[in-house]
Amino acid sequence: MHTALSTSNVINSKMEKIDYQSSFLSITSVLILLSCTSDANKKDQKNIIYDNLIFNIALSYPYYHYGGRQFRGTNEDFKTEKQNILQKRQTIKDDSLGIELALHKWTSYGGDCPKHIISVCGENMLFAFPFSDEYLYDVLYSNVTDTLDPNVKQIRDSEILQQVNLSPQLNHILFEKHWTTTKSIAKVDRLITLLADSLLHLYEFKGKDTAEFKKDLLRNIPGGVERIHTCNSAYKKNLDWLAREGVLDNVRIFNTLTGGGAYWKFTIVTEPWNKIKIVATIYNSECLEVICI
Amino acid sequence: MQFSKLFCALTTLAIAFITLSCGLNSNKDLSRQIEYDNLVFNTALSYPYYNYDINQFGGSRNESERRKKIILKKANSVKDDSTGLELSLHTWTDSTGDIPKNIISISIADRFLFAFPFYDEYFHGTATATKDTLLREDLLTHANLSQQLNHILYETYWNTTKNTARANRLITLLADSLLGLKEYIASDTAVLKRALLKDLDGVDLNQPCARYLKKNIDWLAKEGVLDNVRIFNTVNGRYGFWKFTIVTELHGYISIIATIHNRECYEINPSASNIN
Repeated sequence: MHTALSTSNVINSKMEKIDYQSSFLSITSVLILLSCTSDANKKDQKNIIYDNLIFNIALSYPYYHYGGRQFRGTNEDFKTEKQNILQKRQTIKDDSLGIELALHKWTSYGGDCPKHIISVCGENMLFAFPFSDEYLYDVLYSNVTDTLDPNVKQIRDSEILQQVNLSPQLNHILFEKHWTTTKSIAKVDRLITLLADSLLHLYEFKGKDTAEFKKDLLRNIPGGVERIHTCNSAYKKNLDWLAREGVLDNVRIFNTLTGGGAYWKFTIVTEPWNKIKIVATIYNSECLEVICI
Repeated sequence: MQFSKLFCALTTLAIAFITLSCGLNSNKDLSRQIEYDNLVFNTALSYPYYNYDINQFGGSRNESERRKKIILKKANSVKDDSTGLELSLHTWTDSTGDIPKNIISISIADRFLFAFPFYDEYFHGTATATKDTLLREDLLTHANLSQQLNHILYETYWNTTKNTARANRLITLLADSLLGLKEYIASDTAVLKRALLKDLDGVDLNQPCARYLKKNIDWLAKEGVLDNVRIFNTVNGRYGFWKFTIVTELHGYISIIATIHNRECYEINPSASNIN
């Protein structure tokens, strides 16, 4: 009897142990399973969110397929277009700033100049914006645009419409990364380097004084210095001015992506209460030769 | 005894599971909200001529946060049970005093989320040279609404002839329910023409552009009575009209073509001097 009881106690205690062990094991495995699937889902979800954002920005791109073939028709057309846009053409990761930049680039139907989207990812940050360089738009202007009468005279002219201002995009990054004070000037400067130099490979103009800077600007004019003579007189004036500005500590001047004769000027401006912001502008657009419809 | 232990273990498991799934769900809701806000704000920053003035977005953190809140506030929302679509409208005005800018978001539960800038009948008066008698004002709508709508059809698998009714519902939800645009409906051309002309009150039909305007009204009236065509007023309600056409493509696919017509007699010229 005693032996039977003690055996039963041993079995019970073992069962108890097994119960605790099994419940512990089940909970652990559920947790592991959940965390694994949640990690995988998270990664998938992150990719979906990223792709969705990029494609949304692409569809918001000014003159996306404007006048060209519409985004319509068969599923194959959609897929090809989407894949083309979502492909990262270049990626730059910078550990010191904790961000990753990527470049998406595609050309719409109709022989447009390439369109660009830049994405900036970091901890708690996912941001993408259309990068419009020095594109010229062949603008139809007349009082009869969109008329149904084919005999009506329409006049075309070219205009530079930059469309999307780069400064708000850069300042949004500063804002999200808390780099909006003078303490972060080095980081902001690095951001400009990453964007203009590492990602877009824009040539940076340098010179220790104004004369040297101007020489560098002149050396890199597409078509050579002779081309200046055909340009607007404001172009020459602007070159002088850019050379003076370019030697300042808070100013950096780069070529444009299209390289048609305009320049990107990035200025880190210090505002009251030690606040900073970036002003990014394109100059000397008078002598452009690039035409994108 | 063993049953109670087993019950205890199962209860523990269930609690752990519920707690985890609740946590995951609330995280999901939060991350969905962050995703939504991020998407809308990214789209806002992609808006052509966003803050196209010297006082760029930046500098003060308070100012940036205030701007963000204004943009992210939903001005209108529409939920449609039959299609599962939820549409929202975000609208704001830049410091330049421009005509309001609009972003429309469209989602279906958690499987589809899309936002795009909605351009109505905006003008960009370049205010530079004039070409004799011709108006030097260009209407550049920047983004083509068709591509946005066709993207929705594609992502929801509604781009086939079987889904023509849904595509039609999408147009109703967007133009009527969300934007509150007036639809011009008439069974014959003459009635439709009268309705279109009625809303042109105040337009000087003697100005140089008027002859094209009248021609276009004739054409629109003829088109508007077709089954696959719908005509609405614009948001600004000036002298343009939105025309939505559901086109049957090859192999049973459908597309929506959305265009603005009768742009010639515009009067809108919002802060044009900030451009160029």
